[in-house]
Amino acid sequence: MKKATHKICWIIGLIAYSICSCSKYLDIKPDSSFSVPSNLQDLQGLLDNSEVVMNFVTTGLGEMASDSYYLNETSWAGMTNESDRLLYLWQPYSPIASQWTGPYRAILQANTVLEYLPSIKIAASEVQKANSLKGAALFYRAHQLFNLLQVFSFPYDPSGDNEQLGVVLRTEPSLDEEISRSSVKKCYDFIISDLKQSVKLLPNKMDIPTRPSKVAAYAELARIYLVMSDFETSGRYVDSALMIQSDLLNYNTEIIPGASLPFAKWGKEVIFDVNMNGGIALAPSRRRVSASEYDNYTPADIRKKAFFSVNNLGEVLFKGNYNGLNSSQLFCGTTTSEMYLIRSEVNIRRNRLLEAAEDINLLRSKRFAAEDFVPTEFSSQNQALEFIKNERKRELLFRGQRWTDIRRYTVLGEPSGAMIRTAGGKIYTMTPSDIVNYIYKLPNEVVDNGSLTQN
Amino acid sequence: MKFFLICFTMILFCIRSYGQTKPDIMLEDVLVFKIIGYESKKYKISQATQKPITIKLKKRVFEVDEVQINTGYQKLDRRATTGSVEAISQRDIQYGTSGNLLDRIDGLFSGGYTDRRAYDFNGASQQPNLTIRGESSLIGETFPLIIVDNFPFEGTLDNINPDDIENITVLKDAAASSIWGARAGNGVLVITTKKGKLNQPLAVSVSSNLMISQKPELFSEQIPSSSDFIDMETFLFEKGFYNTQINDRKKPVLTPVIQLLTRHRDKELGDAELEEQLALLRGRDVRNDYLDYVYRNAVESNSSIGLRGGGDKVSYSFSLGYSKNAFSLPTNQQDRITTRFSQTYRPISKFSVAVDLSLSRIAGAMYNISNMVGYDQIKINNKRLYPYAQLKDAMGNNTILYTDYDKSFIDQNQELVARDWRFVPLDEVERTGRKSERQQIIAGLDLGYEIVPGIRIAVQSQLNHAMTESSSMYEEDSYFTRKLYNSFTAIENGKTTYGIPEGGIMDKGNSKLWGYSLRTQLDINRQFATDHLLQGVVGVEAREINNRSLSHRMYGVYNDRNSFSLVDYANTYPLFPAIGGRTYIANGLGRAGTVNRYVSIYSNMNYSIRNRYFLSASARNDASNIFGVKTRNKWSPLWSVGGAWEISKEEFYNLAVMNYLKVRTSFGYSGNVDASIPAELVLQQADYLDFYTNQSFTNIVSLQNPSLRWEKVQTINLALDWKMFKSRLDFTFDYYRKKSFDLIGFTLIDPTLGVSTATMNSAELKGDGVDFSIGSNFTSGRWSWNGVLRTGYNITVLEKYNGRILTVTNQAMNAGYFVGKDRNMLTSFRWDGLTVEEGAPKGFENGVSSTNYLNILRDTPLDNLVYHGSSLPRTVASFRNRIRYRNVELAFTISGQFAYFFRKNSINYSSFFSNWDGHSDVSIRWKNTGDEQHTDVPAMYYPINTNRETFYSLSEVLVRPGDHIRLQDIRFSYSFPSRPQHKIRSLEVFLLGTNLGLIWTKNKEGIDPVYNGAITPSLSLTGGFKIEF
Repeated sequence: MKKATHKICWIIGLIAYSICSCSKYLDIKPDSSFSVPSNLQDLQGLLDNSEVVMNFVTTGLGEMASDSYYLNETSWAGMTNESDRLLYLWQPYSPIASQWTGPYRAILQANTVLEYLPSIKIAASEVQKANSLKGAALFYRAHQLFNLLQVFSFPYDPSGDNEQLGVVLRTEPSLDEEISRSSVKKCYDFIISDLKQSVKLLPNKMDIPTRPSKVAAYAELARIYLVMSDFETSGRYVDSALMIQSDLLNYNTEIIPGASLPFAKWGKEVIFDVNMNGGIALAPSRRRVSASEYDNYTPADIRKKAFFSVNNLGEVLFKGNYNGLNSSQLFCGTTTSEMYLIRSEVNIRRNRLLEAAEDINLLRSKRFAAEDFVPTEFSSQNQALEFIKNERKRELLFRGQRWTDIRRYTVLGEPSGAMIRTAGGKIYTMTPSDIVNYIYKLPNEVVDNGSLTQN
Repeated sequence: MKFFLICFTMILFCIRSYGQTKPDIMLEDVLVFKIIGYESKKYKISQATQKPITIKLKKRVFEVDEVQINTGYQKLDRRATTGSVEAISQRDIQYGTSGNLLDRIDGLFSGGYTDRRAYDFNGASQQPNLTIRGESSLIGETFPLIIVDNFPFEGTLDNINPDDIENITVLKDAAASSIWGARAGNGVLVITTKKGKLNQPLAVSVSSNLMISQKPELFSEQIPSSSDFIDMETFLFEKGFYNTQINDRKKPVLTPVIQLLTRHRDKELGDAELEEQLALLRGRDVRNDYLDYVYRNAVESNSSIGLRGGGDKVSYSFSLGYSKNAFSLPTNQQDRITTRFSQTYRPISKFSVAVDLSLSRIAGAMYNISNMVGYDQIKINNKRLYPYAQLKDAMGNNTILYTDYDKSFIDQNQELVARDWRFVPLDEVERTGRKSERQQIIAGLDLGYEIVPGIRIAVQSQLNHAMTESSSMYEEDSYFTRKLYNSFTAIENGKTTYGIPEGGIMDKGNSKLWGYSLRTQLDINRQFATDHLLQGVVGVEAREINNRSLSHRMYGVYNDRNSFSLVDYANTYPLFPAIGGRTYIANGLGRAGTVNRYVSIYSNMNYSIRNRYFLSASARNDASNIFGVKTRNKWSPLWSVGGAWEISKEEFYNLAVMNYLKVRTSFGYSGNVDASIPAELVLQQADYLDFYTNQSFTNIVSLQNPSLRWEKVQTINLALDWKMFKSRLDFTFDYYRKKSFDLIGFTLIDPTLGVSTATMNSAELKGDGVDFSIGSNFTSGRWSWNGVLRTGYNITVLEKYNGRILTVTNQAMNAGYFVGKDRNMLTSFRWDGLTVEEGAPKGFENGVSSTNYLNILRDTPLDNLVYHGSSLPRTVASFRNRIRYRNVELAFTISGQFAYFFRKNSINYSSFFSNWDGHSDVSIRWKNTGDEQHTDVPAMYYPINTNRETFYSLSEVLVRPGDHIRLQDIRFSYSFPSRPQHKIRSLEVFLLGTNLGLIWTKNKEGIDPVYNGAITPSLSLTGGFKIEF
């Protein structure tokens, strides 16, 4: 019996031992694709989640409200969601949630990078990479917020206090952060501070244009200061951007204008590749370009051939997407050509017409055959302004800039004409004063499941 | 390797010992005579012994409850159990013939519900969902834990041959299932395979059967007729709906009707001609073509042979099974070979070694979905097939169907591309598709040693290894390959280049599962005094399961040459037609890997006094490698207690009519764990590259949630077992209350956080229910009747919900979270008929009749919904009868599901117009004023208002009671009288019919609530025999 007791003790000892050793046994990851962010590669992966999260979620609501396109009666009726049909008519309706949640998903991933970066041990050889990750995260956050402001908040007024409701500034990837809307002023301060920090951290250029770079941050700042009507600063950032990247695509030799999709992604003009969530209204089978828009190009303008095709009903279709996709995911990133346009406008507004014409002619010389190209001369500031506005329309069609431009001009007291849409036999008009007062409602889901103030 | 050596020695040993059947008898030896069913008798050899000797054995008077139950850790007499356990006998398992285990046990225990709503008529092997005593988890696993020969089974249930099963024990309450701890919250099925017994002569059993099923019941689906479909197209054509498509540069497919209408509009076709052509199309139904030219009768055959026996030290069993399934789609088939070997060696009475080895191989061939052979697999620009299509034309030639581009486009571009761009459905019938092969080996070794009398130490181990290999071949001339080849055609400056090489395409996938379990336990079985018996186990266990998979694609494959070609995955290629843009060539690369580890310490004790008072207690602590939780929180302690009293054993008990009476009760906890839900911010590497940039990337799987806990299920069980009329009637009644708390659910969170749901412990469920069964066993002369009614009632209520409630529409649509109501509460919007003017549905807004659908869908208060009841049957019943006259037996099973509701499918104009997914209700729709008196189906209209469609589909008017009774099967069998002189112990031949349809349904339209207007399973007939010698 004693022997047996001895045996039992021995077994119990063995059992006890095996339990003690199991804490390590249980530390193995249940799924080898899982990781707690612990190295730069993990974080880079978050920002490289381009197609679904980071580079394809910029809100397209601005483009959808603008006059760059129209829908014919059957296309309009063919949109099965009543809210899509009503939004097209500028009725106060809540848009699809992804227009808001998409950008905030990107911001969440950016904030994750910012949150975990300091805790990662970085080797000396990786310092540059770590900096560039931080810069990229700041850049994405700023980019998304800036675009949200253009559709969910009243425009920035250079002479006002800008205390109107902006968007939500998020800084942590946690579930506990308090969520509320900041003022437009605070938002712009936040965005600019993010971008200025990112300038210091990012390398000049990136191999893949979907990754933010210093030139992308300069270009984004140039855009933002233009919207804020701080022309001098905007111009300075254009200079900085063009110092790094200034190549223009020569439409004479470098593209086939007649091709059904003349532009491949990542052409040499592209500074930063980001694309909008165009919704079903901007689907290629639905969107049409108005005659006045089409007539804005002279027949010799290669863009007329490269950007458009005409179907057998005589309707004009847009095919000039800079990302090579035939989809509603329209390219809305920055390009060198936009930089020249901004610098030209900034110079016009500062009454430096010669310099302005120089940039315009450089750009236009790449858009016309040598024999067709006639250099532009500016005789007065007003004529120059009129010209640059039309040139922006021509060059930046379907690039997500139109809506912001229309609002900006109205704020500056230079209203463009009223916009008109027809559907169901009725005509809907949006006058310049309507334009600055038109902002989208926040998506219902966002208000229902959160605590935000509805527009 | 060592393991196989041991196996081999065992086999040798077994053969040797089998030969020694003739005993050498000496004086003073004691012979023991044993036959099952008789009392054993000892006989001492003495000088006086006469040769030959005659021994008469007394027929044994059966104890009422002889059934042994196996919890997977220990074997107990059923009468000594305190928990809710049911045993499924071999006889019941052998009743059916399906190769699938779940089909065989359907309805064989009370409280189980088999959900067969997901039925695939193309005949892939189906795994219906099984729940025991209602759901106890929201998003976690609700399927019971399956134990095969003492260890949890990993892999697909298809690898188990039901003919190898000796018996199945179903553990339903906490006293029973807490033995299995943190994975037992959904109940446990403990499967014991057939084993040999000591001192048993070799027994051989052979069985074989063949099942033939009718072709798929395509016409049971409620879809619009060709005529209604054409009316829809004509209606939309007049509204200009197709203009976008007609002018679309992507050239989507235009149906023959739209082409006719276009030609008529363009004055190329006269009115009469149009009508004539349309009339022709109205008369067609493509389902006839599918039945004539594509589908066949499904045939399934199962055969198995089993050998069992044992000497005085060794027992063994061996079985081999083969089944072949030829599914209703031609060339779709599956073969299964299973073999199982087990042997126990007991050299001395204190020590035993047992080995188990099972091998299975499943080989299947299935069409690739992209071959588009099946009736529901053809997609026309991602829409369903239009009903007036044809597979063969009047001349008997296979017809062309346009599925991706319109005919005009193909005709125009065919010359520019190298491959035939036309899709001929019947040509694809000849294609090889996806071949797969799965092999699984499970090997077990058990060692037992009795240290002191009544205390045994056992070491049990199991190795599990499964490999699956699949390859989908797209031959060079298959439509898939031709289409892809054409798409990657680039024409620049008159020069044509091709992005992908000539030859076929092959998708390869491999996956591997391997794991082990190791368990050390003490078995206690000691008698104290005379009347006290302690039976119990104490032990520790560790388990690990690994899953790995890898997939890739090869281009330029020629099977006869083993050749393949390299493809440039790194650059984009233009798509033809050029409006398609540029894209990467798909590489099909993917890899994944998971590891699950579990550690447990457990004990379970049963104490019985005077064989009539029974007590049980169990305690268990489990841990797993759940991600991101501190070791301390990984553990989940669970326990249970129970008691039972066999009153009929008491001296004071003298109720003769009720010859057995037992009360029992139990209380305890079991759990549920899902290690795949992490508790902190976790990234997941995507298993493919980003489609736009071709870079690898990560996703956020979960945000920080440090308070994540294991789900727990608490069960109280009160039960009464009794038998009447000398055990001719056998009753079991269980009442239970099951509380599941800390349930993990998707909780809606503020979408501005960047995610809209988070996984949190957020809910509590409370289930109340009753399991009840009556068995009858009457014999009168040559007649006998054996019937068992098993029924369960369960109501599971969402007791608490901490997450955010969804919007009213989402709540109604998804049977959301209605606190205080059924977990699966079916709700609807109030219905106010159709409008007189337009036939549009009317609902209520603030109590007033309204057609403002958006407001109804958004602003209806939750209280104003109509609450119908559970959408899962609260009551499930099954009644199996066996009536025997001499050697002839007629048996049938009736099953029913009661006390629940379902939403009848009806016409949704949005999906009808856009996806061609309609419903036959369209024929009884509102057409003119006055129709609203006799129909509730809204008028056809355009433009579509999705809110109106959503309102109608969620309205009160479509809800029906789901109660129904089904004739599950009829079985006729004949058993030949046993003939010992021919060494045949038994021989049975049988015929079995299954899927016999509904007997009664409560809804007036006669809709089968399980399939709800979709294709129902076909009648099948099986014949077979079983012989034992």
